[in-house]
Amino acid sequence: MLELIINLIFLVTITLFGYCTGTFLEKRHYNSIKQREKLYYNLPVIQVKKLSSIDIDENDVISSELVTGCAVVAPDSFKSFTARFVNILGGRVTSYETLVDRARKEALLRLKKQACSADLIINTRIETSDLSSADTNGVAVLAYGTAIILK
Amino acid sequence: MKFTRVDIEENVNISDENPLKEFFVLGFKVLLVFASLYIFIGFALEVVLVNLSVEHEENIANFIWDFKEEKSLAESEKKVQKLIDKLSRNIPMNKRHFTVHLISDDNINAAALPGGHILVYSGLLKAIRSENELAFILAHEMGHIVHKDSIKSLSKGMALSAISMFLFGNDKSLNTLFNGSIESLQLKFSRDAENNADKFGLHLLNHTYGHSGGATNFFEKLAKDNKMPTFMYYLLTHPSPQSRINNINDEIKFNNFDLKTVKKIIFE
Repeated sequence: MLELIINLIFLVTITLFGYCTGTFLEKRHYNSIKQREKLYYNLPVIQVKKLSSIDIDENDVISSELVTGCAVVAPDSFKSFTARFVNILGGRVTSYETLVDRARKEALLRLKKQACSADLIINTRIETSDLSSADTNGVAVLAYGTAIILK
Repeated sequence: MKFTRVDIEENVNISDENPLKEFFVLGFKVLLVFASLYIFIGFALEVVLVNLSVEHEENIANFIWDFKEEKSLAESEKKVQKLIDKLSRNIPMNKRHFTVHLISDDNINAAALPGGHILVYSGLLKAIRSENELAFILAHEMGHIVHKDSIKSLSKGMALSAISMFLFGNDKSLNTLFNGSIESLQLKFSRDAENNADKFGLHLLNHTYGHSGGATNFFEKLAKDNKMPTFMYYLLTHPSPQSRINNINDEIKFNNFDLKTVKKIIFE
């Protein structure tokens, strides 16, 4: 009986703690994302493969280079607890939606940062993979593209 | 083609719901699923158990358990076995064979296992002061076997573990949590079973000896020795000694059983 109570207290504390810190960190991350997105407002990141499809002459290109941005985000204990319920009942795992969204936005921002002096980035792809092991899980997002500098 | 940047203010990839509210709604639904599975499986098990014949039960029990006889207690074991045989002759329509196994342990305890096996610790024998006391305790354990109490609780426990493993996978913390929370419900079941076994024991004692003397002696001794506050007993499987004494005395009054003084003997 005592064991049960201890387990319960432990679980509730961890979940509540996860909820508080998780919400705080998420808000902070989103604010940072919003600010940095304003910095790179004018850098187009598109996924066209050929420059001719956007009316740019290939001879105008000075250099083209691979740029990448990578971000890893993990859920807090509250999020993963809710996700376990959804694993039984089914439906959308809304708790994980913000995770994946943040990771993708962060990856794109880092991509833009790496290519800050470029005119545009083409052939952009986003790869999402999950890092899940017995104890930890998370989402790793890689965004890569070709940075083009024009004359 | 010209690139025009379009600003999207709201984030389309995120849902609007309050995570806390969602957590509680989902948790409640999972609890419903779990509870209905438990009730259903428990019900199904009861139906099967009621129809399990005595021979089946004894065969399965003998298959699982292998009791080793302790040489030092062999004499006492024979004496206790004679007492049990005397009691079992007085159970109406009895088809079971009860076997006692003495265990060399200073704890004051006795247990009933499916298949008619009764375990008695040597500490209990040392604390006994009359044949009737021991007879009551043995009759109580025989009551558990006749009522199939340990089968029911074993199988309910197994059903519970199976369900929680199905629902939660190998996540140990959630499993332990839900196993434990049902445990406190099961304790009540166990206490009802104990009271019924006390009743059975009392009737068997009265039928064998012609009176109910000695039934409460042992519990009175326990109540004196144990200083645990009453509320702690809520958490334990057995009812508190005092409540058992009260229940037994109520039953004696209700049935108008006689109470005669018992002969004092000391067991090995």
